[in-house]
Formats: sequence, C-alpha cells, structure tokens
Amino acid sequence: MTRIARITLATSTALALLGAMHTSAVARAASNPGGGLICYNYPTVAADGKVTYTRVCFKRP
Amino acid sequence: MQRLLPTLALLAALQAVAAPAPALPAEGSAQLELDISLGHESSSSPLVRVSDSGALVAVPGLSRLAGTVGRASVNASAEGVLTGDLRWTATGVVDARPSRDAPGLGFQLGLADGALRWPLAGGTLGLGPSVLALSVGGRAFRQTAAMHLDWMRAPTEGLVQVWRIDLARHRHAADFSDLDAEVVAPSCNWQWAEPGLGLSKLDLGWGLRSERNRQGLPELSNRGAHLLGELGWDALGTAWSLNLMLQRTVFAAAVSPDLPARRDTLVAVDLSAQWRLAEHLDLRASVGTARNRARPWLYENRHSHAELGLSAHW
Repeated sequence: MTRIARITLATSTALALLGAMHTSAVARAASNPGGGLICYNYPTVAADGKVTYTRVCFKRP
Repeated sequence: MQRLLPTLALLAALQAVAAPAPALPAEGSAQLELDISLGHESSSSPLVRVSDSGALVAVPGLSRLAGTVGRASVNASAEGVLTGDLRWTATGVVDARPSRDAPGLGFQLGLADGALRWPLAGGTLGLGPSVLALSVGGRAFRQTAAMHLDWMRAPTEGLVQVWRIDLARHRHAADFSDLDAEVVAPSCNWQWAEPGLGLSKLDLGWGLRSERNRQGLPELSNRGAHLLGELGWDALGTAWSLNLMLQRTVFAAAVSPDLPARRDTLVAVDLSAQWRLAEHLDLRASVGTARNRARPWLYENRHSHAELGLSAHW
C-alpha cells in the first residue's frame, strides 16, 4: 500500500467512525446503540421482588 | 478435549462460588423500542493535498460534510429461562441514518447479540457472541464478530455495576481490508439511580482498548482509553441528560518517516431533553458536538448534530 493510500485510509476511517459515534445522548436516552455505544437491558430484582431493567451502555469494541 | 476439560473445571469452580445467588425474574420478558428522528449534522476536517514531491501540504479551509439526516431504529431484546438458574438473553438492533443532502453522512448498523447468564458471586455472569455490521456513506464498511463476558451486580439499592470484556475481530469491505483487526476491550459501568443533589441518574463508565492490525500495519494498530459520564435530572417537566466522553488513542507507529505516530484526543459532549407524551411515547431533542485533536494535524476533525425525534417503547 502506498504512503498516500495509507494516509487517506486512516483519515477516511477517522471521519467515518467519528460520524458514527456522536449520539451518545440518544443512545442512552432512547433505544439507539448506533452512536458508538451499545446498550443492554439488565434485569435486577429489588428486595420487594419487583423486577426492573437497567439500561447499561458500552462503547463498541 | 484438552481445552474443554479445563474449561469445564473452571466453570465448575465458578459455580461453586455462586452463592449467594441473586433473585432473578422467574418468567421471561421482552422489550421493543422504536425511534424516529430528523436532524442536522456536520462534519469537518483539514484539507490536504500532495505536492509534486510527495509532501503533504495543508490547504486553507476545511473539508466539510453537512446536511439533514433522518433516522429510524428498532431495538428488540428478550430473555428467558433455559433451565434452573441458567437464562438466555438476546438483543437485535437495526439503525439507519440516511442523508439525501450529504450521502457521505449516511450510516447503517445491524447488531445481533446473544448471551447465557447465570448467578455468580452475588451477581450474574453473562457469556455470548455478537455480530455487527456497519455501513458508512452508503457503502459496506465493517463487520465485527465478538465474544463478550460480563458480570453484573446490584450491591445496594439504586446502584448497578457491570464489568465487561469484549474480544472482537473486525473485517472490512475490500477497499478497507487493510483495516482488518483484532480488538481486546475491557470496560466497566457504574450506574446510580437517584444519587442525590437533585439528580435522577449518575452514570460513570471507563474502558481500555487494544487494537492489533491483522495485516501487519503498525500505523493502524493502536491502544486507547475512554471515560464516559452521564448526569440525568428532571426540571420544568423535562427529563434532561448531559453526556460527556473523553477518549485517548495512541497508534503504534507513524504512517511515514516524516510524520509523528498518530495520537488522538477526542472530547464529545451532548445534551438531550425528553418529554413524556403518552405512556409509551416520548418526544426527544438533542444537540451535541465532538472534537478530535490529533497529531499529526491531518487527523483532526469536528462533528456536531441537532435532532428532534419520537421514541416508542413497550
């Protein structure tokens, strides 16, 4: 791969991934894991037996 | 078999320390969320040209993409009991963000994730595979196959802690195949509900990441760390959320002898407001900006967005 091709490749990758990560508020507030975060619902049970689901978000690997 | 026996022995040892087992829902459940929105995004980066001698030359001005971006996403998750304390979970996501004004901003994502969960040491342990496909600018970009191991516990009321490690392999479309890589990414998330000080939520996360290029290109291998924070509060009949992300990435080598090895520092901030319209329907507005400072400068970029959308959930 040529030097210029490598530079272009790395630059375009940075742009693509930056555009893909911007919506962290959306990912957390709603359902979208597209913003660089992936959100999962974890079930937990309170002392009174009530089941609640906690949304926990992680950055995509 | 030589690998299987130690694995089974390890699982048996882990099971032995499973007590006290946390209570888990006796029945399965499912959740579905639909999201649509319309917004504006812009992304800019330095302009560069190559001189006749092959040197990189900065051109005044910026390369800029901007336009209206629509968005539609579906997130479905379900869980159930396999046998005894052993449970299964599944998550599926489709997310599409087309842009007629600036097709280069277009982004599509598909995710399928499954896991088995069982009680362990006062929490629950999850292990499972995931596959993810990304398309950027209307072209297939990346497919990721990963295994993840996580441990979740709720040590006190209102606090949830999750430790997680992902082992992932990225494969790319032909034009980007030099980016193929393997990633190891441990991370952690602590989340408090009603932590005081008028907050409805406090969420802190951090993680490390090591990416090894599979084509033997050290200039594309990198290590990084990130911090995530979210503050949530209710005011004026609105649920507010302020998010911050800091990320540092250091690449293993320079792309050429006359340039330094790349180092990125990314700061992203966004703010969202959400209003409950009906039992299963919310209206949401959000604005945000992200800036990547880099060495060398040609990797610097900015991204900003504003959007208004509806979210339905069952």
